[in-house]
This record gives sequence, C-alpha cells and structure tokens, in this order.
Amino acid sequence: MREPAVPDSNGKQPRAGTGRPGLAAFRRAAQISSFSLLAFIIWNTKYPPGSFINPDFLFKLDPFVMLSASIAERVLLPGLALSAATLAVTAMFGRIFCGFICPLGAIMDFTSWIKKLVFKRPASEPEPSPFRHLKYIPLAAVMAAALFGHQFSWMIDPVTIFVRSFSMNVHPLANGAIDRSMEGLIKLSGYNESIDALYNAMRESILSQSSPSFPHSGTILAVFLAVLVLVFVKRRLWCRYLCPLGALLAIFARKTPYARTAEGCRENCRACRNDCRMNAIRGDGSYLPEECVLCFDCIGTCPWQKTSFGFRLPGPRAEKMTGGGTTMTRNRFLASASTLAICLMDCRAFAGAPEGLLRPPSSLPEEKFLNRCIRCGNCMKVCPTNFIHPADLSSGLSGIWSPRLNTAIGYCEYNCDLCGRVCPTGAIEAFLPATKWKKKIGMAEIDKSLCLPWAKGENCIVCEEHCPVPEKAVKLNKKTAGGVRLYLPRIDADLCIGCAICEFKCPVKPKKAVIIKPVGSRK
Amino acid sequence: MGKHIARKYTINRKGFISKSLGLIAAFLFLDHDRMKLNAAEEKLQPRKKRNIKTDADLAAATGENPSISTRRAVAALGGMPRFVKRGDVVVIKPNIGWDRAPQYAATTNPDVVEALVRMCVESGARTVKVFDNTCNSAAMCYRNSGIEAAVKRAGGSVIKMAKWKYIPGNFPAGSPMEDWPVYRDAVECDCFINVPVAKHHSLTGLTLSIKNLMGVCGGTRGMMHIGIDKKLVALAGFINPDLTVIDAYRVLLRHGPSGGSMDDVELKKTVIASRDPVLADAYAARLMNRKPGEIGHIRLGSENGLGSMDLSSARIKKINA
Repeated sequence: MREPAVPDSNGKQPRAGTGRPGLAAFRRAAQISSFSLLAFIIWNTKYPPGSFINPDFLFKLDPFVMLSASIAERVLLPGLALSAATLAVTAMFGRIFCGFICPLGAIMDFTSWIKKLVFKRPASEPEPSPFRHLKYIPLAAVMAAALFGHQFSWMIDPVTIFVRSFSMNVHPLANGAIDRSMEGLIKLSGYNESIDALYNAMRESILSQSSPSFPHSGTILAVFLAVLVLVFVKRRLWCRYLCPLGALLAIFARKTPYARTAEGCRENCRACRNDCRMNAIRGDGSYLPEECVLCFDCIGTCPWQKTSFGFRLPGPRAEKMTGGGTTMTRNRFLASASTLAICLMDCRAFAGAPEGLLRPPSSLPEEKFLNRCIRCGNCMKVCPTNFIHPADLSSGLSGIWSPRLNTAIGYCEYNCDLCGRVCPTGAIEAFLPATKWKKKIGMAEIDKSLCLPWAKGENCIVCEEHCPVPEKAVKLNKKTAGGVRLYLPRIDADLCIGCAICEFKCPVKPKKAVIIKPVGSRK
Repeated sequence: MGKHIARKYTINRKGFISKSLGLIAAFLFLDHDRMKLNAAEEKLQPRKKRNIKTDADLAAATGENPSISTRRAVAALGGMPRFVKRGDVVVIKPNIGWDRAPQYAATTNPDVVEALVRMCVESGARTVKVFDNTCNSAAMCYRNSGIEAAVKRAGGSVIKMAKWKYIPGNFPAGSPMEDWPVYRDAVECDCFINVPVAKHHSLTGLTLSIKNLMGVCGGTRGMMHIGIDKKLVALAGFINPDLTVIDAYRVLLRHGPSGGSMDDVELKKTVIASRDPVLADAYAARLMNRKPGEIGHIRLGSENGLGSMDLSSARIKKINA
C-alpha cells in the first residue's frame, strides 16, 4: 500500500498529481503519434513501390538487432549508422527510444492504462528491484553467440516481436474484418452505388486487394501476447527485467547529461517511486538513469513540484542523485549468460539447418540467410501474392519464422522486387527484376501421372500460358491422337526460374501436377 | 428511486470498455456462413443485348494513332451515342490479364481504352467501370499495362475485382457453364463494351473478343480450359456484349497469351469495331492470317447463332484513319 503523503512544514497538505504535466503530455503525444505512424507505415507496406515508406528503417534504428547481425556475419551492415545515432541519442538523453519510439513499449503502456481504468488499483512500487539486472543476461548471451557466428536477436528483440505480430496477425485480422463488414454492408444495402464506390476507393488505398493470410503464425501471436500479459504483473515488466534492447540502451544511459532532479524531497513521500513504471526511482527521490525511459510522469506526480528534468553538469551531485549499486555478482552473470549462449547455439546444432525450403528470390545461401534474417516479416507483409510465409517448427527451431515460400497460397511475380527492398539486413539482397530472372528460386517438375494431358488426354496448357519467361520455360509437345491435337507440357530446365506460378495455377487438386522443388545451388 | 433508475441506465467507463470489447468480439465471430448462404440463393440472370441499328456490320480503321482509329471505327458504326445513353452504367472490359508493358501486346492498348472511356463519358454515361480478372496480381497488371492511368485520365473508374462479387450465373440447364460464377458488375450494367487485344493463344489458337470474356468469370481458370470452346460460346451468350472493339494495333503472334518478347509482336495498326462479336473475331483472325473457321470458338459461335463469321456477306467499312 501507498503510504500517506506527509504534510509540508507549514502544515499544508500536498496534492498528488498537481505538478505541471507538460513534458508527460508531450511524451504521450509523441508516443501515440510515433506508434500510429509506425502502424500506418507497416500497414501500408504493399505494392506499388514508392507508395509506402520503407519500414526497414525501424530495424536499422535498433542497435541490438544490427549489432548482433553484423557481429555474427562479420559485416558492416548499412543499418549500423542509424543504430549508432540511436546510441548517441541514448547517451545524451537516456532511453528515449523505449519511452517514445518502441512500439512494443507503447502498446504495453496502452494495455496498462486500460488495466488501470478497469481495476483502478493505485500503483505501488518497491525500491528498484535487483531483477533489473536479469535483462543483461539475454543481451550478453545473444552477443556472445554473435561472436561465435550465430545471430539470435530475432528471438527476443522487442521491435521485431511487435512488427512480426502486427504484419502476420493484426493486419490480416483487421483487414479481413473491414473487408467483411463492407461486404455485408453492400449486400444489405442492395448493392448501393455510393457504398460500392466507397468500397472500391478503400481497396485502392487502405485495404489489401486480396486479404492476406498466414496460417502458421500462431506462435508469433503467442509470443506477442505473452509479452503483453506480463503487463498485468507489473507495468513494463518486460522492459524492466527482460528486454535485451533495453539492456543495451541502458549501458549507454548510465551517465546522461539530460537527467532528472528531485531536490528537497519530503521524508517518506515516495509518490514518484510508487508511480514509476520502470521501477527506477528510490524512496529518497534519487533514481537510476539507465532504468528511466523518460515517461516524465514523476513530474506531474510529485505533490511538491520538486521534480524536474534538465541538463546538468556531472559532479558529486550527479553521483548522489543517480547512485549505483548492483546486487548481481560477476560470477552469477557470467555463468547464466554463457549458459544461455550455449543453449542458443546448441538449438541450432541439434536442429540443424532446415532443408527443402524454398526461399525468397535473391536470398543469401541458406546458412548465411538464417543468420542474417531477423524474422521481422517485412518481406511477408509486402509480398503482393502472399507467397512468403513464416516457417513453422517443422523446419527446426533455428528456422522458425524465417521466410519460406508457400506455393499453395502464392507465387513469385515476375516483375516484382519488393521483398529485396524491405529487408533490413540484406538476408534478401536488394535486386532488380532483371537480376531475379537469372536466378533460380527452384525448379518445376511435372508429375505425368497427374497432369491432365499426360494422364487423361485432356488439353489444359494453364502452366504454359502463365509461364512468365518470354521464351516459355514450359514447352508443349504436340501430339495428334484420334483427330484431336493434344498439348503435353514439359519443363525446360535451363529457362525455368522456379517462380511457381505454374504450380499455383495448376487446376489439378489437391496434389498439383507441377511442383517446384528446391535447387542445389541455394545450399 | 429516481437515483436508482438513473444508476441502472448510465454506463461507466468499465462498462463501456467491456461492452465495446464484447461487441467487437461478437462482430469478429459473426456467422459468416449464413451470409454466404444468402448469396448462394442469388443467381445472376443473363444480360440482354440492346437492340441498336448500326451503319455498318463492322468497321476497321487503320492508322498511326490508335486513339484516332478507335474513334473513327466507332463513328463508322454510327457513333458512341447509339450505344451509350445519358445516365448509363457502362462496363468496358479490356484485356489486363498480364503484368506486361503495353508494347508487348499481351494487354489491350491503353490508348484504345482511354478513347473508349472518353467517348462513353462524352455520351453522358454516369459511370464507366473498367475491370478484368487478371492472371497476375491485379495491382501490377492494371498499373504496368498503362490501363489504370489511361482510365483515370479519361474519367472512368478502375475496379479491382473482389472475390465475393462473383455470383453463379443462371446459364441454361445442361450448359457447360452451368452455375459458373460471373462478376456481378459485368452483368448489372446498361452497356457492355468488350475491348480485347488480338493475340496468339496456345490452346484456342487466338484470343480475341469471345475469349476475352473469360475475364468476367471467377472459378478455376484451369477448369475452364477443359472443353473451352463450348464454354466460351455459352459465356458470350450470357454476357451479350453490346459493342466489340478489337485492338489490333500491335498483335502478339507467338508465345501468347502472355508474351514478353518484342520479337513476337507485329504492328497491324488496326482497330476493329462491331456489334457482332463473332464477326469481329473472324475479321481479326483473318487479319492475323488465320482462317476464322479454324478457330474453334469462332466456328461454334457462328453455328450457335451468337453471330456470323461470314465476312463476304457482311457490310464492312474500311477506314484510313
């Protein structure tokens, strides 16, 4: 329970929440607008190119992902420059990324706001918990694994967790719901012309023309919800104790010139400590700048209007105000971090690289691809034919959520280069359609026991007419039988690029008569 | 007492949130199947062709500018106002089937489509809808064929077809197309103008106006290919286009219907217009050095009374545009 605030020396009763809410309101506005903007950018990531803001910048801003991918792959990824900017801002102002930009943080704040509205329990926090040191363990483990050449940041990076789920779960559900309700509305209105025109305009702008679906995205939603549920234990529990990106930023935020001051605190007041979502404030009014996400709530909470933020010179006062103190011993930290790193690398060693998966065009060779890919789902979101899907557990723990091609749902558009454009780490190298035409995604194979002309003597040619290669990789053998000319398809292995339109359009069901098989050169 | 009632009917924040969440949840799990069932009862009736007298049975305009040729060819039949009345809902059905640039002749020439949309708007059409069920992604086909931009310039509306708007057509019993899903907008219109591009097709020999109508159908395209000629003629009799304009400015001679190489494209610089789809197809077939009788669906269309493939007895106007 919150202790009652102590009266002033003049006997005046303090009133909580009377401080100027200016900065907190600014933070809230910034958080809402950056979240909405991000959601809009991801929602709108679709054909045609040039009509959307490339969402790769979000991951390039994320130093945890960029550093671990760069270290694991021993390359200087172009995203490192933006990440360095994030770190520089953090060293100046503190974990402003967590408080202002992080979409997962924003949605957690929103959830805890709802929770507060519903349960109306006054917030109460203890002294800064030593659990806060836990988050350095996943950070150290992922970085250690990166040193050994394995990238695992995709498992626990907050930005990735949010964006992946937004693209795979939220967007398809919301898009489908809007589409369905418009369908119902139009039918109910007896195909009213103006509603129909509105629907058409919506399909030209906010709605996907064909509703995307991701059948194997349940685990993605589960991870996202699991992180959100933690909010019901403690506000921002993930950010306080678990987030590796937060840990990395915290290292840079230990001594920031821009900091909080609370001078002349009343004894046993603790209003700001109880209200701190990050559990960063001590009972005496001092705080841990590396834990603070600059939500600025403490300014408004202070009953005495004694809390402020500003630039200050480092010196003894700074030391006093911010303080340190670690309860985790070096031994414990090293032991747990190295154990986790070994576990992570082991899961790859045991599961091995997934085999037999089709990867997006212009993907790096399999081993490098898995390492470089952060499973952000940008390529899956942008693909105009819903061809790219997250791999499920059947491709091994190390391959989960990595992009695979699902020929039952889509195919690769001949003139499209979008997946290469939105990949933040270059796991799918940026390419021009003309270079894609020379690379094989896979190779078509006709099953003559199923193919209509081969097996039943019925003309079809659907694979041939859809083949986008100008010289046609599906050739037709002509045979005249019983006065009817029969066209029998075969694959020209030199021309076929494995775009899979033939498999997708093949009318034979349920097993298609032409199937794309992976080619050896990707290994 | 009064206080009690007021309390009963006011909503607090908690109630508001939980109720709206409940509503959203109920909405999401709405019984979608029932909605589908209602749609299944509805069947599209065949389109009636308008009874229009034209000055010629067929007009073919040849010239450097496809837009001018289109205008001349339609004018030779008596002009667009004969086909499109004030306040009409017009459907123009070009071939937008493939994600190819216009010069590959896999899709209808955008200039021809633009000229037609303009003529319809000038004749007082209320709405001019342009659509096609594409083989590649609709957004890519509409954009890269140049047709989207052309239609917007001319004041028409580009429609990307929605899956749920394909409704089973009430074809005659025993027709090979029985209950085949057809796009609602294609039938619910006052005037239907079919604007194919003339090109090679590996199954039907050529793809012209009758084959172009496949783009108003849903269902599995591949299944349509089984016994395709009969199906196409049944479909043409269902849609009954009022006007057929064949773009033979550039024609695709090989590797159709999708093409993709300039070696397969030939300039014919001709635009053909006719009320009779079979006659228009027969003329275009001969232009491409094929005998109309060799093309299955043209012969069948002529036999079934869809139109006439007899070019020698038709009143044909040839124009140098």
